[in-house]
Amino acid sequence: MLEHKFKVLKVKSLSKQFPGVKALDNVSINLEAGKVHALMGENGAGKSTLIKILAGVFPKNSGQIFFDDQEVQIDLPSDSLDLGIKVVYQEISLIPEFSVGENIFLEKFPVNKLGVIKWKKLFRDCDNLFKSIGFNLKANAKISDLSISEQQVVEISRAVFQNASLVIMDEPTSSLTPNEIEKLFTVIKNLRKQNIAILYVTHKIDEIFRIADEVTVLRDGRFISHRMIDETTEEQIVKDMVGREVDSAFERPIEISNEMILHVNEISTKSKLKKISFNLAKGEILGFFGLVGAGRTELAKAIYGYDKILSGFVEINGKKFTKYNTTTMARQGIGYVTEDRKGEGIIKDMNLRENMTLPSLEFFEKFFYLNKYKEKSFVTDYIKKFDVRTPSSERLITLLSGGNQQKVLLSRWLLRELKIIILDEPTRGVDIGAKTEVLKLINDLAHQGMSVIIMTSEMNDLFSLSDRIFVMANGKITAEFKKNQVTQEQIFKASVN
Amino acid sequence: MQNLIKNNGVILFITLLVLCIFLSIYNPQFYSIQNINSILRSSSTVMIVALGMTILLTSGEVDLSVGALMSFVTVIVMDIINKTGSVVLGFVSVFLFCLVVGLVNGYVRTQLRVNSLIGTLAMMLILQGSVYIYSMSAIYNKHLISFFTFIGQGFVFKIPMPVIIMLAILPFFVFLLNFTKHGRYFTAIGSNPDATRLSGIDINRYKFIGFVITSLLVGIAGIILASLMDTGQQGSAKGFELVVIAAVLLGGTSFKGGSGTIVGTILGILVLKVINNGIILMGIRQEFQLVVPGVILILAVYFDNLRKRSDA
Repeated sequence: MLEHKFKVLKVKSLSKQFPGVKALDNVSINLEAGKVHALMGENGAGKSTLIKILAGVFPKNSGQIFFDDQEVQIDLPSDSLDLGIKVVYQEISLIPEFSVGENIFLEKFPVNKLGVIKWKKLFRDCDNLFKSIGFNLKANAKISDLSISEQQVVEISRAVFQNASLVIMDEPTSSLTPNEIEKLFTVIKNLRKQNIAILYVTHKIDEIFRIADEVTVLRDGRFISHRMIDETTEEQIVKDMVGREVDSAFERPIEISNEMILHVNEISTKSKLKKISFNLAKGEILGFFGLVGAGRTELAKAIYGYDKILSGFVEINGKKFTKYNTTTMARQGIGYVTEDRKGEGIIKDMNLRENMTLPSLEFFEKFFYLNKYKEKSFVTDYIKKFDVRTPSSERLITLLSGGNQQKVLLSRWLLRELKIIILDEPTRGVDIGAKTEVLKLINDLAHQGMSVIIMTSEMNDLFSLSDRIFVMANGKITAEFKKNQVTQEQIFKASVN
Repeated sequence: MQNLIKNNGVILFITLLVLCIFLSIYNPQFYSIQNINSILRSSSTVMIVALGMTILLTSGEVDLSVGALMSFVTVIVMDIINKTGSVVLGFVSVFLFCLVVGLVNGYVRTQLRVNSLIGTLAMMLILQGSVYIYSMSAIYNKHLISFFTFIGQGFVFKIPMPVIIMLAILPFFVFLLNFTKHGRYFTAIGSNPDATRLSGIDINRYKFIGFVITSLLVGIAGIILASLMDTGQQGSAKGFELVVIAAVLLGGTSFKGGSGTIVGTILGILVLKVINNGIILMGIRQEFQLVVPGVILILAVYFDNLRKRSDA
């Protein structure tokens, strides 16, 4: 009933360069009609970049895409849609106030000559569509009343209606219950019967053994392996995903002081966290590993007072806090460096100096007067100390590279007396050379007696610094490990729990 | 040179200069003491309120209730002084009233989390209505206290009193915005509230302060206006909020927050007021006093956007 555009969609040596990082390096993959192809890899492996190039969101730097032997050009999202490539993202892009039927037929309402919508036909077509993919849903139900999994199926139905030849699913099960996952798998199997190619992007290894025909693994933007599902094992795939050697670890003291500085006791938040507890000693570096959505950032923000905690408490130097905000925590000597440098870190209308001194302006204050000369000389010192590459302290922050911005954000806290610093993805968007510099800086701080909490999804950061490693999943701590007593595979397994 | 053109203040200053030269040639009356004094006097009430509005807009907020509050103030101050015969009591009640309005605006914005565009619009309606509940008719000066009249109409060394009051307040705000950490925080909050909060700064406190300062400044401006008119009138400052906001935006303050200077605001007000004055001097229909600034405002923000885009 549907017309198909290819037997095999071939992606040949695709590359994509972002400033300072090669997101995709010569990646090839073949997607067959009527097959489910799983795409796996850690965060930053290049999965999203690949999806976005296929969807026309990013232009590629080099490489080719073929429908069988015919090369196709994808420069814009509209090109991709015209070719029948449909991405179902993690965030649903339906209109919540519209009905299921209206959403599916949004681009192509059945109308009569006057442009009046033929509702009966719309709902009937919609029911038929659902039958064809084996799903039961009322066409006149409002989207906002549906569960996430039902919304996803609506998105998929929309793709089928739009004559999709390739459906890309980005972590489709990340927020679904086991029951809902079953339903989704039924739908996927029906899509396969309709000869649609499916690219299934996921972290969850058990799923691909249930639903996929073949699997491609990416790591650091490179193609690592392509295997048929019935010829491989879970262990093999995990090995492919994490097999990267960790850069030289930094020298960490063997004995950590037993002077407890922070005690987090069963804190929970509205959004994510469930009864998180841990201790942090003076001069210790704790690494929290977790995949996207595990709750790392939420934990950082809850400790720091950006998000309210519903229950539990935080104890700093024996002082208990249950109700607190960021000002309280900054006064207690906690600093926080965000993962979202652009959104929550830098202040784009301000220069380097003003960005660096923001939390510590009291330092340069005499009565009410802000001594800019003193401020400038301090900042100049820190620029030298941390080797921030900039012509002057007065340079607009947005004109610095990612790595240099990150150093500025780190120094933001070092001007003041800090006991604990919480770093969320400290090396994200930082180019390789500067990564090591940032990590070294963190290690130096811990040697000077500062306690550090690192939230990361990068094994490299995790292993090169942490004294203890906590793994998070679904807002909970699922495992705790001591340094040197754990493998990447163990950590990865705990994180997909 | 490139930098000069990129600077909004320089462009405004040149515009102002050209306008003044043109008007002086067209009509020598322009540079008479009386005319200059009248421009300065009418600028000063706008300036006083614009100081607060600059802070608010810089921190990403706006207060649409200033005009309605100012009208209300003229009624209160006249009424209380009439009733008590005490200027001090009149002033105290004005500032108490303004304090309450400012606190409510701040509360609605930070605790009820209503966007300030909407929250202060509602406050404007509330004030416009309740001023008639307070008094149905205009309140005339029955106390005839000469000091009160002096505030708006008097001169010191041939300089109008409102200008002197404005000049007395001005340095405080220049200092606040440029030489204290608080000024830095207002800019930071407007530019990136999340980052500022994550730097341990209590952004709600600063938003409160912004609304309260603005309301208190409206109190001062309202007293001057009442003295100038010698009346308390329910609709006397209708549309005043738009003049203030237009002047501040013309002065280069961004409506989205994150940038703004007092100097820019001063220049913005002067440009608008000189244009108004020119329209009168040139005998053009007075309605153009609204049309011309409207057009200029759109152009100013458009050119500002152009410049910012070329930076990126």
